[in-house]
Amino acid sequence: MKLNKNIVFWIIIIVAIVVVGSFLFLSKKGKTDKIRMASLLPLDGQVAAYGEMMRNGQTLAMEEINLNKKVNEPILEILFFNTSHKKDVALDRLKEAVRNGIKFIAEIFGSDQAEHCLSYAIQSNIFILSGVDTKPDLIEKGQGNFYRIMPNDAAATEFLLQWANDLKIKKIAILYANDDWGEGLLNAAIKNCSKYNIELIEQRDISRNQPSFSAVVTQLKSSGADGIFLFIYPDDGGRFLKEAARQNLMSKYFATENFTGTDMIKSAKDAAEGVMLVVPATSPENPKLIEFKKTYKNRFGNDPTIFSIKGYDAVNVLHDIIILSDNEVAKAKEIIKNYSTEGLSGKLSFDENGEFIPGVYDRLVFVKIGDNYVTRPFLE
Amino acid sequence: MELIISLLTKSGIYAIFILSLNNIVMGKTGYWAVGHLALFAFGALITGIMTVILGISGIFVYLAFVISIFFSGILSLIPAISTLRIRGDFFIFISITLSEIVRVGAEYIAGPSGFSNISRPLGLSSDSSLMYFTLLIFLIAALYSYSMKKHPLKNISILARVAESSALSFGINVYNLRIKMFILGGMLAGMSGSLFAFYSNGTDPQRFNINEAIMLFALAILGGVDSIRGTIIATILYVITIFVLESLFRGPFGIYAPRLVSIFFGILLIFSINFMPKGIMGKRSI
Amino acid sequence: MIFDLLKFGFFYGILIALISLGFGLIYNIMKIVDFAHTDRITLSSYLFIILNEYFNIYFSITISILICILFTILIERFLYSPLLKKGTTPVMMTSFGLSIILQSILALIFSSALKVSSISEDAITGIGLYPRELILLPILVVSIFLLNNWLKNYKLGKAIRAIVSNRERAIFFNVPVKRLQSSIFAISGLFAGIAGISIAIGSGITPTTGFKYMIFSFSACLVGGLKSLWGIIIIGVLFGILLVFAEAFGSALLSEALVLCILVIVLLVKPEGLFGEKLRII
Repeated sequence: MKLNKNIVFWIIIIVAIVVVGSFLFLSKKGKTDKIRMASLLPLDGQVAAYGEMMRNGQTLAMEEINLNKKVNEPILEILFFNTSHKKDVALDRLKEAVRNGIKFIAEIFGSDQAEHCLSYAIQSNIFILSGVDTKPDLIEKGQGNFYRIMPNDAAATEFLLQWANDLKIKKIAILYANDDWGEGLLNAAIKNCSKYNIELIEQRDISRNQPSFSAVVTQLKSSGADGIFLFIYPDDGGRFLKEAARQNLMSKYFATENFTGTDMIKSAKDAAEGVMLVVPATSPENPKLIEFKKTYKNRFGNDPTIFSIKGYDAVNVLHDIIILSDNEVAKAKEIIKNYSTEGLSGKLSFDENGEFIPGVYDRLVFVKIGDNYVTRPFLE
Repeated sequence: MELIISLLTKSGIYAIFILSLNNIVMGKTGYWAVGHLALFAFGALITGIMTVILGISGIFVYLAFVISIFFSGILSLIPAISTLRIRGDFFIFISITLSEIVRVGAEYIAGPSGFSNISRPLGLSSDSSLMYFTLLIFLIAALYSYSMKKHPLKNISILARVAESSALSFGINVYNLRIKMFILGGMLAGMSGSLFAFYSNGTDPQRFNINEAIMLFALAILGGVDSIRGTIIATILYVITIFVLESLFRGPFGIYAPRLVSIFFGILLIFSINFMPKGIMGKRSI
Repeated sequence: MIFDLLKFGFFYGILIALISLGFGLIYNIMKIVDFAHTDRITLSSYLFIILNEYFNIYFSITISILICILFTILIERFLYSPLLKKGTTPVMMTSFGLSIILQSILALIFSSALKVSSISEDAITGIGLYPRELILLPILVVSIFLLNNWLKNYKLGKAIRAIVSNRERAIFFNVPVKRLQSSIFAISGLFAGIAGISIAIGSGITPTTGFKYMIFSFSACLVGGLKSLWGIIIIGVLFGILLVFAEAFGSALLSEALVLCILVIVLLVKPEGLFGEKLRII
């Protein structure tokens, strides 16, 4: 078979142009009268479990809104995108969402990802609301395009340090994930340490899926810290705790809300007992929350975590704002400054800079009940 | 329109990279530079360091661009010098190792998700201007590579590649020639890496991992060694495959697209290396 | 503390040495580095975790190791051997392609999140080591002695050495090259299976876990000298200790970079490895 190479070359180029053209033609969509928002979640990779929880919460919120809407109100549609917890993928997905005519984003999961998207968001005037991004300076960098309903790292670390202080812990060590999220928490903790008379004696960076933790634990053992703050991803955290239990590292472990869920317990097994974590408070008596927990459990088979709750709240808040602002970003930016509502996770309101006004945190601890480890409120 | 611009920019960037791989390094020296992506990553990394850590902006970003090209050329000295002692499979080992070192270094310096907010040079801040710039660079590189093929003294480099010892006996400085080609290839790869950093505003180490390097290598082989048309074909195949699979798997199903891309290119690698060593456009295998 | 680090490093090194030994055996018989070797580890880990959800531990260990060995032999018979006549480089690139395909298929099936086995293990009191770590040491020692003995004193072993030293001449003397090649691949698959189960119980598995181990064992192989099995094992254990120390005083990334830098320096200065004999390709 001897095809002329020139012909092959031009055939391939023409096929390529036809393929791109047809996809472009197919993706052209007419105007819809739906209210649309996009949600950029990691449905893949190390934090996929949280992306899934958030998606469940947001789906429930969407269904509830569409069920209770008035007759002449447009229905709500959420487009989910997978970011794989990578920055450049997140930016690509955001651009795709904007191409589809979406101006309101209900979530960009991960502070790194959100930060990477901010300059594009400012440039094309998009309104982003997040339920999980905790990096302190995101609001400032967002220049009015980024808002969140989660207290930032500074608040979380202050509560952790306060708790450590209450337990008479004097020396702490910090293990942090070597990305922006972990480093943000580390820096916030370093800044607030002296306020509580706590000495930071050791800080270690942990890379994702590190093959072994034996060296880290051995070194922490010799440093003699009373408390260890774990600002790492839950599966790594579980493996660290397992290794610490093997080497009898006697210490108290503190973590943030990302240890909720089952990932940590699966890796740590029996070592999970006694791990303490601070989680943004939800009032357990709130009838809406009880109702939500019931629906969630019926639908997905397990209890909602803080991520599902924040996802639910974010969609509700954003829907309100879209309705109030008549789908205009400039108006929405004005409205959110005076906005206040009672969500599942307590009071949601913003200060004049647009930063979320933090409520209190719950102090939780892992205990063994039957064969399972569950979190329950910490008792002195 | 935005989509076409981004596809064309991506094609331009990868076309420069594949040109440096299959026309310059593999085509002129005959070495299997499997980990050539190291130099691409290095260019992007240096650009990131200059613009994010050192905070260069405005017109001086062009300086960062030139410096990252320069450093990529220096890094390519390592595989170039290693060819004085080793060849064949051992060159592949050193190439792979180098690409891993650069990835680990990038992760160490920039964190696991890389730099973000890399500023573009003055005048290239819009997507379309970056596209024209990239395509212009590709055109110049392609013309240069073409002129090398038509050069009256081209037989010298062919002899140096095919029969090293007999070229030495003619008094040709084989090593000098080879190192020159490695440096040229490294600089082109570094240039494409730097452009990639500008294009995506960040340096995600995931883009530099060894699987990506192997896939691009497979494409370079499939396109054909020492053929500019082969470069264009390979680039189109790379960009279009990813585009089509990502368009087919949208939303929550987006998790399947990157895996299917890897599976497709893995099969392509096995197929092209074993059954199509000349590639689609090439006249010879490496 | 130094003693503890040495202890953990040594046993970590045993694991790396076991993986590297598989690499080395394949290199010697076929003159290729099989980049898919560590993906067979991942495969056996996944098999073990899945089987262990339904069956007891010994049954799942046996079955997953057997499947791993079978898979290794099948790859050798139907992929590597037929392609070997095209040269060693295409076979190596094929193994890399295979590795990419395997990783992606595993990621399609199991997603890229960490999968953990449900076995909860307890360290032996007093020593502070898990049984799965301790058992690797006798496995490694016994297998290296058996291998050495077999290669030196038995007819088939001698035949293998004949293939290693000169393949064409071995074919000429009617040595059953194909069968012996498969048996060496089977041994390497056995090592991969054992290592995979140890990793599965120890830290759980993701589709790309094998890659980290590939870097370490690949470096250990090349630094130790591909032709010397003892060299590979010594360097493997030393690398384990080095990795743990670098992790304790630096970070995990630093240890990875250190190993890779050692590899580059060795490749540039002494390409045949520290314990290897002079290579003909130089």
